[in-house]
Amino acid sequence: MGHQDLFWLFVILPAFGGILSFFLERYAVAVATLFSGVVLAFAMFGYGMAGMGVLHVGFEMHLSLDAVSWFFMVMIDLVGFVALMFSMEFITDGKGSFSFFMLLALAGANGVVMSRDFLSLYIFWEIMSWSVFLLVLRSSGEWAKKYIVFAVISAVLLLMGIGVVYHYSGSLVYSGAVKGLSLSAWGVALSLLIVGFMVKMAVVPLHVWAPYAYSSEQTFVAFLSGGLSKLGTFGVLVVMYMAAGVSVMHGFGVFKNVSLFGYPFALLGAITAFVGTIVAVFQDDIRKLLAYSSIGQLGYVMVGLGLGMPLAVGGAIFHAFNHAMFKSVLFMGVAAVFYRVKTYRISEMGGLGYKMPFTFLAVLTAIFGLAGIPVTSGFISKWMLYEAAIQNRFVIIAPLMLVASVGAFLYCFRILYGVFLGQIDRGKEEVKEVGVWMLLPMYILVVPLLLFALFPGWILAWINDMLVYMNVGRLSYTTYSFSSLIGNADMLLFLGSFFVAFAIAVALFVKRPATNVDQYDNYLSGEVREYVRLHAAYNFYKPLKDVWAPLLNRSIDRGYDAFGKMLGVVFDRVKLFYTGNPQDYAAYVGLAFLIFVVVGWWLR
Amino acid sequence: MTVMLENWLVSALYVFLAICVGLLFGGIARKVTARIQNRVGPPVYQNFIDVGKLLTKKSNIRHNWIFDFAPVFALSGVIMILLYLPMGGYRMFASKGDLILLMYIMVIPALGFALGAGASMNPNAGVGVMRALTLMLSYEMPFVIVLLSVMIYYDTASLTTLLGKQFSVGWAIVALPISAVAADMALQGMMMEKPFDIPIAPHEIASGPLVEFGGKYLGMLMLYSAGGIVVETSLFVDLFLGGGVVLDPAVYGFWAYLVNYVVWFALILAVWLIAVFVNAVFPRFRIEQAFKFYWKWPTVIAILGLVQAYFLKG
Repeated sequence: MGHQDLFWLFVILPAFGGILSFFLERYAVAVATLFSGVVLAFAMFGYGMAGMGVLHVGFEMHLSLDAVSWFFMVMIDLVGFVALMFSMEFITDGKGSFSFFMLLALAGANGVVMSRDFLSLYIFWEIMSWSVFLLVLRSSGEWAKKYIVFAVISAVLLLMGIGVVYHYSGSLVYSGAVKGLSLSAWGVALSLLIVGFMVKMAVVPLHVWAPYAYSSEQTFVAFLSGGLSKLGTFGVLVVMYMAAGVSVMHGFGVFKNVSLFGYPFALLGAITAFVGTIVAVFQDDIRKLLAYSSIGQLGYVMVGLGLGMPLAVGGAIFHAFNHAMFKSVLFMGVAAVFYRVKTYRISEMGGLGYKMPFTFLAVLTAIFGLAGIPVTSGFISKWMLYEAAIQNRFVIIAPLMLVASVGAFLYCFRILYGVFLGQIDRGKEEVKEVGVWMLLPMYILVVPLLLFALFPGWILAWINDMLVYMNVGRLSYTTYSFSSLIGNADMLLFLGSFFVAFAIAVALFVKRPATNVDQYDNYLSGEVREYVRLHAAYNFYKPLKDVWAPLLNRSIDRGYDAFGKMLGVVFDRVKLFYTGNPQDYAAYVGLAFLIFVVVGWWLR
Repeated sequence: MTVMLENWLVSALYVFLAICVGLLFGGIARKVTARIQNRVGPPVYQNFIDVGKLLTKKSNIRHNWIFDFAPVFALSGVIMILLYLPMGGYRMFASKGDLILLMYIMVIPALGFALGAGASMNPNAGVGVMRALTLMLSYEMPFVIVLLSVMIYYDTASLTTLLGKQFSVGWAIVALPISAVAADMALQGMMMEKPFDIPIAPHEIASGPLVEFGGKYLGMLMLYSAGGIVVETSLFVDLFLGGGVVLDPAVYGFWAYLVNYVVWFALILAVWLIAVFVNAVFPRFRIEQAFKFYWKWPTVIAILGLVQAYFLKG
């Protein structure tokens, strides 16, 4: 593949598929799935096949499919592919526009990860961002404005950052930018660019759009949270370590091997992980719960990117990958549940695990990944981030991350118990498992989680390639094990002995078949009642919530709302000038002229 | 090959012994508590009789397959923890995984147990797990800070290295006494002894998560909790009391292992008895009180310990 083909295959092909499917109302999503599958296949086998190239499309577009863009492209395309596959049954109205925008977002995302100059990055970023806006608008309606406000803020920040880079270096290419910029210019440009990308990652305090946008159609949200939010990660990674590079980062001063410029971002990430987790614990709407959980998990990624050691950056990339897998499964699991019971409130569900065992198993594995249970690769990325923080003795970041991971157990159990275990609510006894086209996408994403738990060396080799490509450093790993300066872990030994221990426990437990007992027989001791609601799901963590109440009442979201209202009042006052009376306007012009003359005379 | 098999057999022996020690400790706790409360109490081997009886019981009722999953997951998880935790200086897999891995393995049995409790459909079980998780969030705050202090002071996350360093330069309780205090406070909650037996509070929520488990299920879960006692006490001993290692196995061979095991046993018994004494005389907190308590005093103490570790290390 030449660089010419990159543009055609990964940008034009999905965009074309989108346009095509737009006109095929009934089969739109199926066609879109097919196109994204083809793009995914090309991406997967395109590893190391194309170098950097320049494409002339009115301006110079620098595209490249190197280790970094390949990894992110495969990840995003995989999530997009399965999300579309899941949508075939899930999306019932407006299939054409749905698949059009999904594929357009996919094309934009592919363009973003392939871009090696700021202008094409910005163009593709906007294509992606506006497609997402229209997808959010489709189902969230009014709440989409929260997203668009932040998307515009992000775009403006990116544009300002790009402007600073161009002003000083005269070049928009990443590699060209390093030469021209002084350290202070880098400081300004990097801050603007990173904050712009952080909006997409939903780092506190720029996260308020996420809970609303993540309440849209869940298959799209699987793509948004799993795939597209990783573009924020990609952006931060690229500006920090590809455009600027470790030497520039370390030029700001070094504190315990970590750039002083990166440290505040790492701290912000740890705070995000903590806040996102704590808020997620108390949500009753499962979409909001997963949204805050996404915010928290991407906080971990931000920690790794900010710390900037090979172990930390590798852990961040790995965690972004894991998050793409398990969070997409979770959102699709929620979609599957919604498809059957038509509710998103956890307190109205319960007991669905017995009726939908395959969905439950997929969600359970994803939860293992989210909680970092060592049977999935979710553990390994968290391990890398913890060890990176501990080996350099970051005594604020490390406890925040560790406690946040304990908090994650709380909301994980909330999902498992509230939705899948406990009592089945009345009227939901006849719920059936979803079809194979909904189960298959979930299980496709479960495979990497389990596979890379046993063979972490495979994925760490790719990540190592990326780190070497960006001159960050090397990871220390073998096929089954990995190590830091202070510790190590061997997954083959762990999983092997876990298997043995499990067999021993099963052998101890083997018993003759027993009678299944109805819940009422047991709990009500045989007393005949027609229906009692016996599911402790409403306001589950109430005692904890009471303790946190004074803090939870302070919401940054409401702070922004107050700020917005204040602006509204100000602009209402401004609006009073527009009286509609020509004489008033004539007076304004006269006044302006007077000011102009006076100021001009004064400045003379 | 024979060496490997030998290692596996010795490891299995250690795990088996650990669970026996746990059952014995349960019996000791019942006896000691009874004597403190001026009762006679059951014999110390009562727990062995109970487990034997429960495991040989004919199967009774069940709920669903997730419910069956719980005891299996709980017991296999606790076996895994015991394999990764040095006991009496014997380091089975401890060099192949570190404290972070251990912390996460420690979640596995609890998670399996919680799944089964949830699948029992009893609201008391749900409330019990909610309390257990809230309690976990409470005591983990001081505990992770303590772990961090130990890890940055000794500059390692590996328990093997930690034991080695404590063997050569002295126990961590001498170097980091403040952290040890916070760790012991966290341990009381981790072992769910009073005043933190909130999740299993028998008088309020009918033993909480355990409520629907009987017969063979309960037998398996008794083995799990017996292993859990050894895990928690042993973790404290490994972190702060040098893991009970007094003789170097490289020099004294078999006798070193024997002596170390005896010392380790005495140390975990001491740690366990502190917990039992506190348990015998305290009433129960409410869960939000426990949360406030843990995020207040033990956390402050743990932070002081962290400051000490940070500056001693320089």
